Amino acid sequence: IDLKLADRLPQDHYIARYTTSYFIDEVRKATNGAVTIQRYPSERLGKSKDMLNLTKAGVVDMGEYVPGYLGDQLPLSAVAELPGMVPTACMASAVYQDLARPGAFLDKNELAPAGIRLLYAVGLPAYQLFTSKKIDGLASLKGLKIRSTGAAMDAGLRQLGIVPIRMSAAELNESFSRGTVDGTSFPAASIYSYDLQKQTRFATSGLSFGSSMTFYGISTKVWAKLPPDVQKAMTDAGERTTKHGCALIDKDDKEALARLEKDGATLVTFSPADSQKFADLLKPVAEEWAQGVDKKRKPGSETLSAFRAALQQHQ
Amino acid sequence: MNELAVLIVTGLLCLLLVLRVPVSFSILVSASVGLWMVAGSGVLIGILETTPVSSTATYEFVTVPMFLLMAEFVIVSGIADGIFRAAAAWVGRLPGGLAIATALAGAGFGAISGSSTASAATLSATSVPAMLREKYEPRLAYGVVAISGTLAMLIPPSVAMVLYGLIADVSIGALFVGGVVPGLVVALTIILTILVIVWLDPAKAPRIHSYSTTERWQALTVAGPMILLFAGVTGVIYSGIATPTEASAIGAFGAFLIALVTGKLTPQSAVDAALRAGKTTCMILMVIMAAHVLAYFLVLTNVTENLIAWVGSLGLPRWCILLVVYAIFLILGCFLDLAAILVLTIPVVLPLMKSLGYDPIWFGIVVIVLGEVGLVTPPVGLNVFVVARATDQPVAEVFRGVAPHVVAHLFAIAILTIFPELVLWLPNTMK
Amino acid sequence: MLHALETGLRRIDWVLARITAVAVIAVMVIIVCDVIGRYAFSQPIAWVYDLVSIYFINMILYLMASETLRTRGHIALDLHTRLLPPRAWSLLQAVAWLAVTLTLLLACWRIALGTWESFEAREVHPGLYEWPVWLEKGIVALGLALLACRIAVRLARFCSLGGDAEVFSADESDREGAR
Ligand code: NA
Ligand code: NA
Repeated sequence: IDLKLADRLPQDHYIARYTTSYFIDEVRKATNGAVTIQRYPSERLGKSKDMLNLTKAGVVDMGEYVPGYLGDQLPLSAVAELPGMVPTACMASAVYQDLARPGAFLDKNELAPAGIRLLYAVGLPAYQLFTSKKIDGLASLKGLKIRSTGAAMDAGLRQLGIVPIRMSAAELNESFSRGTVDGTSFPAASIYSYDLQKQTRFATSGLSFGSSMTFYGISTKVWAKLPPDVQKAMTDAGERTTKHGCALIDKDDKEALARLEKDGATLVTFSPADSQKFADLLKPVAEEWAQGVDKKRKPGSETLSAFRAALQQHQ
Repeated sequence: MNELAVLIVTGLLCLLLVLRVPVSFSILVSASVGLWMVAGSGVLIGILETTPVSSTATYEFVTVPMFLLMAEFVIVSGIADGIFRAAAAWVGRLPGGLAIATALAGAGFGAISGSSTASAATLSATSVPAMLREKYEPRLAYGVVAISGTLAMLIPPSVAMVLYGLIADVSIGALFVGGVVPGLVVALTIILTILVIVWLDPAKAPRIHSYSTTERWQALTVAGPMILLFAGVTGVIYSGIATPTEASAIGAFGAFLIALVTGKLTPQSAVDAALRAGKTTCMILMVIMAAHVLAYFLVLTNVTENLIAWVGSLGLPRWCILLVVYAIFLILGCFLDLAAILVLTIPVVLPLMKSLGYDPIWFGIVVIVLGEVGLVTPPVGLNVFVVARATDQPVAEVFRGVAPHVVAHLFAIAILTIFPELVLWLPNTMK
Repeated sequence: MLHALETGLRRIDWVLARITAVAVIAVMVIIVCDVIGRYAFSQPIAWVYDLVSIYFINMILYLMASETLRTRGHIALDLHTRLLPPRAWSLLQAVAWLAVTLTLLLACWRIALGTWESFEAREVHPGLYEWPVWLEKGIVALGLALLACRIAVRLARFCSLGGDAEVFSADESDREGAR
């Protein structure tokens, strides 16, 4: 059996190595080579924002689904990207997997109706702020120009008095070094994968400016045609991939922060009072998000409380 | 099955092109037929449903209309003609002087516009009549105009570099800087080619009267707004005021202001300029959109991977593979627009080049010089079409006139290949 | 009848192309304001990025497509090669254009369906400003429909002229000028 998997990450991106390459290997091993998965990286088989439609049309069998790009098509799954929500990649992935597992809340309300089934979740650690300008506390964030990656993050940054700026990754490096933006909100490891360590003078730690959650899934139509032993092998490989990947991603994140500090950047930890104020400022973002989704007659508030409850359990 | 489909798609594409169906529609139809053959109607419909909406819907693509608009406003302002007159006043007396002035004007216009076609069109309107008045051989005149127009995409700012930067994920700013020296090298190549042609047959370019010193200095008044515009665009990028994408709009706005100050801009001429910029944008984006549909076909049939793997398996030395890649680009350049070539090949060819140790910035610049050649080679040579249309000459006549420059360009490419520092030195010093 | 169709299409294209041209100038001004606002006052215009990437690029690509075809703006191989007797060659050209029409109509039909679905579902791009998705798809569908119509009218004109394939590659603005 040959299956086509499409995603947006470059061939050798660290996250792809930790998750998708591992998953493909695991499935091959578990089925003794009966199932081969061909990966199409770098959006070569379609843009991320088209992934659901391409899955429905049968262009791809498995795909990377980015709730942030798919907007109204997967509104509930975006919950993990809200600022202040998830601390680590493993928490994000585990909680999402619990909620989106076949038969669970998110599967029933979002994935199954969209015709996909969860294979593995790829959460990222809480995004930190990396800047060229000095930051030392909440007040110093005001007026900074920070590159943002999406609507959820925009809202959080605005709450903090930061000016969010949208630009492509291709222009980020140069804009950062020339001062078009003062910094970016990212997971620490991405600073090195985008080669931004030289420009980074200050980095926050222990905060959450949002995150990014993507998951890999398979078309339910394709799934139904797979023999039961292959289905079982994929389900198991998926569970393993979620755990395996997030552990490596969290490890990288810690190491990257340490490396940044060693390279001369200042790691900034907010005072308890500032941290509390930070959390208070971001709190309404999640509530507003939930109300916005509720208004579209989708269970936003329910998703938010389910996600928070699951987070509590995992802590 | 896949091999058969690839053959049919290639044959169908060629047939449609010969039938004078526009390049974009030819690609779209042949790719659709191919997708239907290898993947079925469901997949074809899924792709036709998504690609037209999303393939070009990216913020950075706004550079295409903006750089084209900048060129149109520069033309409206009369600076474009002024550049040629100034160049003619200074070098007109040399052998082939007006032709050399055309090349210099091409470089100058290139420095303040991102569009080769606009450059070729405006040069056709100003320098061709001047050369014909002085009894230059028409073929020489058409050839110089067509090739000099291509300089606009090598000398920054450039739409082609933006497209390459987006597809190859490399810094557009570094590409802009990297294009400066090669742009001068290619301009020099064109001038040397003219000198050789005139040296072989002086009758092709009669000597003309000398310009007085006052005339020369008067002609230079055009330099002010030109330098202002060039410095404006590069300045906002390198001072960090704006990204290259935004700089395109700032450049267009700068040209708009200059056209306003010269008093030549009316609401009507402004809308007309935007209309022309829009139509050319539409043409370019339509080709890119269709190329994305064809890219699906190539990805699903693994054509490009197999081709690259095959080239790799030959066990050729590095430079041999490079030559094969050059040949592929030259052949594709004969038929396709550079935008389509970039979409189709760069995702596959660039990893190969990187694995061989070539720099992506350097490769981008070389690809653009190869693309310049494609603009003037038959059967599909956009700049030649533009010149033929503007001067009301048969296409074949312009193709003949530009032929010596095509040969000379191959030498320029050889020089850039042997001395990659010519490309990389400036971007490296900027870091 | 055919003449009325041609005139009607020409008017629609004329209006859409001018609206788009004005939009090009407007976007130029808006981006400049965005940059000035951000650089000088730390007040960028938050909606520019979405407006341009969601609607504007597709507006130029699709709302100008038919007008660009009318004025021979789509790059084509303009060599007068003929591999068959004239009548057969003209017929083949008509068949090729028919294939183009069908492909465009297929895309147009699916995207128009998608437009309707997005409209029914009130689908938006989430964010500070909730941009409707139906408008994004609708622009594409409208442009493709006009393009297909223009080619279809040319096919009809081809038949009425008894197989003159020049109708496909002529610049109609030339002919209108001559009239
Ligand atoms: Na240029
Ligand atoms: Na060519």
